[in-house]
Amino acid sequence: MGVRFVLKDDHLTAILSGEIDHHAASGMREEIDRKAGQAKPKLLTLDFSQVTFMDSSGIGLIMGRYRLMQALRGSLTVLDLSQQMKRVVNLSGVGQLVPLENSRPPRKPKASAKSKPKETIPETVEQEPPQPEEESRDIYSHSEWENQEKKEVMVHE
Amino acid sequence: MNNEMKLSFSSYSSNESFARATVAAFVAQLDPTIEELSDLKTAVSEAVTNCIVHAYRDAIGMVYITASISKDRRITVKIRDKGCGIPDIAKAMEPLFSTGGEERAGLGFSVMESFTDSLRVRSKVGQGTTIIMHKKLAGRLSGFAR
Ligand SMILES: Nc1ncnc2c1ncn2[C@@H]1O[C@H](COP(=O)(O)OP(=O)(O)OP(=O)(O)O)[C@@H](O)[C@H]1O
Ligand SMILES: [Mg+2]
Repeated sequence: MGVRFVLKDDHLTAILSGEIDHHAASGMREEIDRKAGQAKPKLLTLDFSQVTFMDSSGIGLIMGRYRLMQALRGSLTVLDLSQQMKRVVNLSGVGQLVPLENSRPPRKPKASAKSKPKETIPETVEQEPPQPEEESRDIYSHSEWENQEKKEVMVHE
Repeated sequence: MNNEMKLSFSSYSSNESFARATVAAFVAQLDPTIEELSDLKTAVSEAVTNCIVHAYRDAIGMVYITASISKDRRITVKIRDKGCGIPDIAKAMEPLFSTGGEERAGLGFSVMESFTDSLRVRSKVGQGTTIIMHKKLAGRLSGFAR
């Protein structure tokens, strides 16, 4: 958990670890900003090799550090995003602003052994959208206000 | 009959990992791939974080999750808050739209959309928001424990 730092000349590396969600990201942000504010590096690297999970809070973390390094007249690189994290990051335009680097040559993704059966088992799965009657069946009701909801938007169903 | 679980918890940000891990642990009995599980955790994390960050911006309220799995490996996760509600859902769902300030990317809904098979949003200002996500797991020879 948290952040470890390696400072070599003008290059600060922040080694992030654990899960990056909104909760964890706020602590990481403070640590990185404090350290970078003191060291004023020319280059900041965010090292994701020890990170096990990331949601869109990770994009916010990268974007915010990009702006920080711009303010410090330095630059930012991002190191070793996993496949899952790359898929999150690729939803944003961050890759156009910040180099996404890998310290090791890309290996076969860890999940590949597990996901193989996906291809070998005959696809009996029809991609039908959820049935409308699922909606009216009230198996969920935590509270009474549900029935009062009016606005509804559906996407990519 | 679907197999269902319910969870409710206070909107402290320290509960974000608890919430997604609990949904993942429930769904694990379907023996999903690592990637499927991580997709689901990511989508749940987005929806839960939105309850904490936006719905209950200046307060602590309850977040309600219902998850169900069916024999045909379909997962439904419903995440609900009784917070401020969303005035314009279509606008809120646009990529990069955010009312959350500098550190928010405005990509939570985009993540939910791309990491699940379907996403539905219902909301009413002053009453709250409900997110319903479906994900169909790929076929496995064994899986549903009776
Ligand atoms: N449960 C909710 N209650 C009230 N408003 C919400 C809720 N969920 C989303 N919103 C509104 O929709 C906007 C977009 O949400 P989205 O998750 O896509 O982006 P974000 O939360 O602002 O940023 P990110 O998720 O990338 O950190 C939010 O900024 C907020 O205004
Ligand atoms: Mg969000």
